Amino acid sequence: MPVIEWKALPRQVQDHLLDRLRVRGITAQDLGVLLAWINADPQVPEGAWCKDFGSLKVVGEGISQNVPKQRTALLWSEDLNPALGRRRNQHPPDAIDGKGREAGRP
Amino acid sequence: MLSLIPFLEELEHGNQMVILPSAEVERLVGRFGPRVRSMGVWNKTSDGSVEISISNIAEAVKTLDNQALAEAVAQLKSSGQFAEVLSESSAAGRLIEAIASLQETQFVQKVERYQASADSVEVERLRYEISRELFGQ
Repeated sequence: MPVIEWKALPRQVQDHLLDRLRVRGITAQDLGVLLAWINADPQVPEGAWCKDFGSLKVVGEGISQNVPKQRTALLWSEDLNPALGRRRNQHPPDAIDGKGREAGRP
Repeated sequence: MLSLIPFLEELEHGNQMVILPSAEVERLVGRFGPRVRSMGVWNKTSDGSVEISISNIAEAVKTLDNQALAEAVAQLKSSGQFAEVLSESSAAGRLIEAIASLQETQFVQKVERYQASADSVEVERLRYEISRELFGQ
């Protein structure tokens, strides 16, 4: 199973997260949960995936099965990409849709 | 000679850190699980080490009695190659959890301070620290 390559996270995405955090678009508690998840060095599914932390989401897509250690993750908040976003707390925080879609949505 | 409380205050004010090298981090993760990396700032994008606040270690040690502390030290020192994976209820597991909980609480407080502060210098400092903890250098 691949792991997330945090070095590959674009600077703009990091800045966006920190900007949203400053104006409380992301809660401190949700960010704490994100940090604990990062520190667990999680393995992620093949293909597109999404993990919901409440006030933010992490989505990613694999680069190649032949390069399992390289994986780019992008951070999104709901205002950044409403088409990807789902209503807050609609699913438990540990829900991961390996197809990158909201569970139950075609 | 310093007594205990001034000594702990000195540690806290000095913000001194212990560096756990990457190989040691991975050895401990293998024995005690990924919470080891949450004991401090995990340098995930550089050398893989973990920086742990000495004051947090001192604070966490206070939650253990002498017997449990001795057990924790023995468990932390033991080789992981043939040893069983120890649970969170082991003395070392409790020590790791106590340090990690302190670190996480401080991170959330730091984020709340970042959100509330009107001091631009402090905001920039906190932004840098939060970014470093989340994404590495």
